[in-house]
Amino acid sequence: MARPPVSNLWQGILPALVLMAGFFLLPILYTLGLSLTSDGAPGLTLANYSAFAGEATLTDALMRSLTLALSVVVAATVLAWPLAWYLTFCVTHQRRVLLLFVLVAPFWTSFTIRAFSWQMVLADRGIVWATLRQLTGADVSLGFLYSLPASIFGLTLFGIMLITLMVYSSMVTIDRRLIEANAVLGGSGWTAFREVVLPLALPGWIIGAALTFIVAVGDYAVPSLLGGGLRPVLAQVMLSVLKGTYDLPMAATLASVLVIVIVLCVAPLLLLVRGTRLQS
Amino acid sequence: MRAKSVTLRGVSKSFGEVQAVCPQDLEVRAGEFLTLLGPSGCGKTTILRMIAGLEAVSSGAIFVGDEDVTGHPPNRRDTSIMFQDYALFPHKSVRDNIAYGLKMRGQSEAARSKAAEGWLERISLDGYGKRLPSALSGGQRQRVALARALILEPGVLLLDEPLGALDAGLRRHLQVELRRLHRDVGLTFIAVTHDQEEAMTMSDRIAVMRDGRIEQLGTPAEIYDHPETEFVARFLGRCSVIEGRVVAGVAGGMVQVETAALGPVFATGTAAQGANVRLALRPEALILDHSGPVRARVTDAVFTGNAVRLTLTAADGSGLELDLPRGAPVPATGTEAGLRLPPGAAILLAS
Amino acid sequence: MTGPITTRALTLLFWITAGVIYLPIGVMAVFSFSSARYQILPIPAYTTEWYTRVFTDGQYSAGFLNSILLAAMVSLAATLIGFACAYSLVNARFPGKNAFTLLVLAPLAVPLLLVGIALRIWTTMLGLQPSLPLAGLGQVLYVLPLAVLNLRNRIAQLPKSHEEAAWALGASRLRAIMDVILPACRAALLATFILCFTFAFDEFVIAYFLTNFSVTLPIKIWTTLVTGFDPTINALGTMVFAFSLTLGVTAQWLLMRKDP
Repeated sequence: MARPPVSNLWQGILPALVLMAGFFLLPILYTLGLSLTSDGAPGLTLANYSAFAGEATLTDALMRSLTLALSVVVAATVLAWPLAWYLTFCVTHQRRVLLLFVLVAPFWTSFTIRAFSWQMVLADRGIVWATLRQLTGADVSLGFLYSLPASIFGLTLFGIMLITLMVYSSMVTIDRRLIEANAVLGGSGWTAFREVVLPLALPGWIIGAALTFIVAVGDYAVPSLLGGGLRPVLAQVMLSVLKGTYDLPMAATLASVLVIVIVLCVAPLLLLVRGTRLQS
Repeated sequence: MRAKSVTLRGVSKSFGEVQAVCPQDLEVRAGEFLTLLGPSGCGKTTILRMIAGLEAVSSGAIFVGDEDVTGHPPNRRDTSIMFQDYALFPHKSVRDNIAYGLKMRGQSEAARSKAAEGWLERISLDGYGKRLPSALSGGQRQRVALARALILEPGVLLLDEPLGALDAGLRRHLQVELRRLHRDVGLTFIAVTHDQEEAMTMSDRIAVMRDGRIEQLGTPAEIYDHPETEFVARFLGRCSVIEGRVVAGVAGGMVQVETAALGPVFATGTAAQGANVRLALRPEALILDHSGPVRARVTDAVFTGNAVRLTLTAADGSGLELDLPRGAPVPATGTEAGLRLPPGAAILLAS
Repeated sequence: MTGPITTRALTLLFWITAGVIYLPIGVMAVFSFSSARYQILPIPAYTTEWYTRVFTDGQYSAGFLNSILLAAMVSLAATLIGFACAYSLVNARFPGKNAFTLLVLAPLAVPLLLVGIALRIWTTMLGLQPSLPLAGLGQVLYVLPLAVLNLRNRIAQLPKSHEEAAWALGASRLRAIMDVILPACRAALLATFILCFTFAFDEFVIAYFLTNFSVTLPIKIWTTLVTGFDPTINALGTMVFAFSLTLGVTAQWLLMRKDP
């Protein structure tokens, strides 16, 4: 076969390829590899991982990160589905864009700023408790700030935005006639949801939940500002190891643990996506 | 401008497993207007794009004039192509669009301007030079696209569904315009279309294509009067098809065929005695005649503008079509009508 | 299908959620004008002193400048690399295209923390010192998927015949890109630049990991938060929020406009 008369121009991917391979793929692979080595023994070893498992502060941090991430996904999901339903079925096309914008816009801005603004609001002297004190006259301050629930709260708002967006994207493509058919066959609104909307919008939820989990399990800013330093999450430990004690192999190990956790938790979700796609 | 011939030798095209064009030979004479006609997916556009150099050939060779251009890029083949959507550059003015090819050849600003202005006049759009394509009508845009292609003085002009983007009234007008343009510039035109009326109006010759093959190549009259296959007969114009058996050969290039639908018929063509054949009947071939030897039942009558088309069912159940001139009395639906078929009016189909 | 009571309940839910999301920012904005150090009502006096402080305090303006310059370079790099990559993804065929696409989009699905740490470990191994340019490199990784997605969408919308017409008229492949593709992508390119700029400007984690002393605005804000409360942060935060919001809206608007 002759050469095509017009050149293929695949070379455009080269800068991106070099960048991603050299500064994304290789660093991560190297980090994973580093976690398998140890100063003491030559060759591959799981010594770092057993050290990790043995150290209570580290495993506690991991559990806190997991608890945080899972709670965020659950809480965000509870609110996201009704919100997505609202945007899809209760609002006209024109208003939808506007309302979506209202929901999404704040998240274009700095994560740090948003976290810090919540810190101010939830602090003892902050407006929430100050107002409550004025209203009830009691010295109310549950010590909400600087705790795990506060971190969960902060990240849930982000999760709501993300999961609502993803679920909405799937929901809005559902053929309305399917819902009409359900009504014709005698089903109620709840049946419509269970039989028609839920299965078809599920892939959207899966993507949103997976992304939210990934962000939450590895987040640093929110737990630092809202969670306090007493009971750190994995991200906070990683940072203090890197910037504080400068223990690179340990940092690599912690990073690898993070990767493993993410893969273990997200992979089943993604398999679910394949499952639902095959179904519909 | 000097017209060039185009020759395809054993040219084929495959996309992975799918063969879009089977190995073809085609000879387009210099200066003629040839149309590739066929339904979508028959490979006509693929052949055009291979001639243009936008698609590589899977096998074979393409010649423009005497030169083998098979591996050449699209701008070094002495061909110019006009796309179905005209592909005018939306951010360039009309004049810059027309002069683009000259700019790519390195001509000076002054020379390009002059040439572009000349062409603007030729297509009756002088004064429109500075406008953007979005400000023009469909017909005007087509003229600009033609000017942009012809300013390079190619030996061959390629047209991809040239009238596809226009409405019916404009289409008929421009069919004539294209034919006139062809005579004026004297170049070889190769066009692609799925519209048989368009092909017959504009072309010197038509190549009817199906499933990657050219089924028949000839002048509009040749193809209409002597379709070689049932596909070609049905694709160009309307026809009814009936079956029969060859009884004997008859002088004057005809055969006598015994048919269940119309009795003995003298059909144009040759075939072996005793062969089972199929015959094509154009609507104008059958004549309504009360005293005619054949009878059929009228099932529908449709007004088509300049004629009334009768649909009838023959004795053996075959469907027939017949065109009645305006003013002739129309038999009622459900009644029996008499038919007459002049000798030679039926066409023997090869397959 | 959704009953009127349910609809009203859902509407309420939406606006309460929105209210909660916007609450702290609104509060921050309000108190940025208050002369009091803490968030107490009623506001004792209105003042713009915190805003003036932002501009007169050297460290904030240095951080701001650093952030602007860094974000500009990062966005420029990401837009250019993204454009070339997007063009090839749309128009060229090559083996491993799917795998490559996944690689380019991967940073979207990976925690920034991971990218930051891995990059820090890797560059330390290579002997590179933490610095602003290094942070910029990491940020390009972070925004590149955005650029590629946006530009790939836009380029895929363009009719193929325009490019082919240019080739048939004698344009080289690169020439055709400049004459046909780029002008049609103007809005998308600008929007991509602005979007990348917004994200790079606000980015904290990678910048923190890959610099030691030179400081971007988010890092400056962070260290202030950590070392002690300074009401100037209210004003700074409000300004940064307004700035990012404006950029984001502009980019979205540009992307939604229909090009001729």
